[in-house]
Amino acid sequence: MRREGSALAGAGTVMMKELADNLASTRMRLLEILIFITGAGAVYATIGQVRDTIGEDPFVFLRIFTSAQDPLPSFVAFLGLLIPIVAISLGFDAINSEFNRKTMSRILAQPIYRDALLFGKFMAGLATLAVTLAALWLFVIGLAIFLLGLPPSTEESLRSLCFLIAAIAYGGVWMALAMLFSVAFRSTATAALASLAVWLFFAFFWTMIVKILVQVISPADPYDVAGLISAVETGLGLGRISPNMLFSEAALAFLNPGERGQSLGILLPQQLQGAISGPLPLAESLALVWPQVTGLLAGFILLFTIAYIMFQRQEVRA
Amino acid sequence: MRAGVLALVVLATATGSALAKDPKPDSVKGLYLTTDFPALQIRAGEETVLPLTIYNYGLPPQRTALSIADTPANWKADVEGSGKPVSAAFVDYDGRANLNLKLTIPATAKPGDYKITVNAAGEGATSALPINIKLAEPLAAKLTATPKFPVLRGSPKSNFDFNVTVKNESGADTTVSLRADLPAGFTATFKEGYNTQEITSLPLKANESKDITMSVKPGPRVQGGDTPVTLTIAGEKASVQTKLTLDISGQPAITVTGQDERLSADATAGQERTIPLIIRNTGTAPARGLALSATPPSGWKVTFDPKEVPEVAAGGEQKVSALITPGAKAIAGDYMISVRASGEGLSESANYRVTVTTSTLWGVTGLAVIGAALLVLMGAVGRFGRR
Repeated sequence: MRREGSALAGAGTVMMKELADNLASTRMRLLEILIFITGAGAVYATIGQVRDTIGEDPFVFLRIFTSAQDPLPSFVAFLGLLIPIVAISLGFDAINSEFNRKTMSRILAQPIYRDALLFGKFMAGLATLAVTLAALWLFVIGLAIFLLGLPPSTEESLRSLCFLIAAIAYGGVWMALAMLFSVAFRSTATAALASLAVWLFFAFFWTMIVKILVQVISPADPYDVAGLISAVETGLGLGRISPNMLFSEAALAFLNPGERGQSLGILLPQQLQGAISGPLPLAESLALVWPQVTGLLAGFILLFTIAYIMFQRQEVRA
Repeated sequence: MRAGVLALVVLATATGSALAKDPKPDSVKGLYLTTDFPALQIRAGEETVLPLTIYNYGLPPQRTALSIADTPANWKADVEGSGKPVSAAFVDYDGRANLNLKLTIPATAKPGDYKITVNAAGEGATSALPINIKLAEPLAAKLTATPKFPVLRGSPKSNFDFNVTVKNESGADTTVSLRADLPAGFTATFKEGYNTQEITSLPLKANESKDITMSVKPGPRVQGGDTPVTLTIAGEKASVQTKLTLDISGQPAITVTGQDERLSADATAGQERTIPLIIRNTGTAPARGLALSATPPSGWKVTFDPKEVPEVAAGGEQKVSALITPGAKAIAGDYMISVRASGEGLSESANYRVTVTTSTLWGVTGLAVIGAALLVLMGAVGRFGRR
């Protein structure tokens, strides 16, 4: 039976209900505590180091996000690990738990379309993630102002805001994946494990697999410069399938204004001839990692579309 | 014997060396007022001092009154003793009194022969000394200036030190002022001899000559070639001018700069950008045959319009356009490009900073990818939308 009217009718209601559930849930509390403790720890550890370099760096605020102090990794590295966990935990039981509690028929008996249910749930998850990350972001900046005694400049604020948006997009990819599995598997445990498996695969194993794949696809001849370059480029291309890599590259460009692409790929000496190292304007940094940001945004839209199609084709009356 | 002594006295008086040896008091007796040269020539406007001596031979010590007769009008004649005007002198037995006759003759006095008589009147003995004065024309006030080297050669930045000997060829002392007529921007300082102090005027006694040094510093933006300088030395009554020449060797000096002194520009990777440049000649001679070149990073293209500047006049400037095309694969950021203008014997470069921005083509492509993803989602919603 064809739907009549907008696919989003009722999505707002679902979203608000889900948001309330998410924010009040114990699971969310635990995740918030985890993420705030690690974030605060990372910032507090680096701030002493950053304080020594005030005056040497015009972008001292951005260093709080990027510099690492042994034994803790940098704030950005922490987020790269923790955002997927938060996103997965918010999305892995979105649909299948409704089936397990046998509440799906009851919800759909309301004047709410199936589309609206999925849209609402996804938007609620994304909003929860965005609220958490924005709060963490403000917490870190506030802590830095308090400990450094400096306000961030406009450029620094804009750059860290871009970083926040990239982080939310990165979380969106994992949430869309978790939601896809929650549609695909009726068991919440299976969905959670599948999502975590994908995360683990991209976070830890993909870089190793890429190395092996590169040797197979374009074996490098140490005496052939062109071959070496193509091998590295193949490796980068394969590595960028991983959302983790896309996020870390985007974060690098946003939080390090001096980054001109030298860490994001191969720059031949010819390209750097006559170049003066200096900070890039934000628009140029954005242009530099625009493919990465595009990849993250398009990736989560596509994953969500797949989940949507699967959900729409499912039998829900069971 | 006595006549021989007298003859000796007369001879000694004539030669003027008799003052050292007095005649024997036995042979001469009386009061004598004498001077070395009772007939002399002096110039009007001058002050003359004649030494007078009163001898007392064989007379008792006595007061001798002194008076001057026949003083011409406007002349001033005084008898002075020990620096003070006196009207009487006391002469001891066989002794003498030394006096001076001070004559001040106005410059307006007519030349000619004059006579002044100085009388000494003692107790029972008198002596009169007539002095013949031939008044000559006053000497014309005259200064001469002789430069050691009237033409000096140097670069626009060097100091030109002219040594000039100034001589006062008049009979009167004078103070001369020193002045130089210079082109605008030039400066001149005066020093005396090897003295380090700067002076503007110089006292010169009669017939004295002094060496002065005039140091001329050329002004900025001076043209090469001969620059005449007139040194005027002016006294109270006379002045002299001497012409000196600075032979300034011209030299071109160029600077390369951007419009409004701006040395930075934006450019998009792979797209041509026109940058206005200015070649300025700050030297003193025209710069000729300037060829323009640049050292861009590889993959860049830099051409100039025009490629060569035939001549930039001294103090002039020439606009040139640089057409810069950053490499198509240039990464965003700042690049330094050295722009060089080199001509006959000179070469000057400027570092130009080019900020390369990347084309927004990829940004549009990225938006298209996201748009396509959204279209797929909307298509799915349309296709699979159901209750």
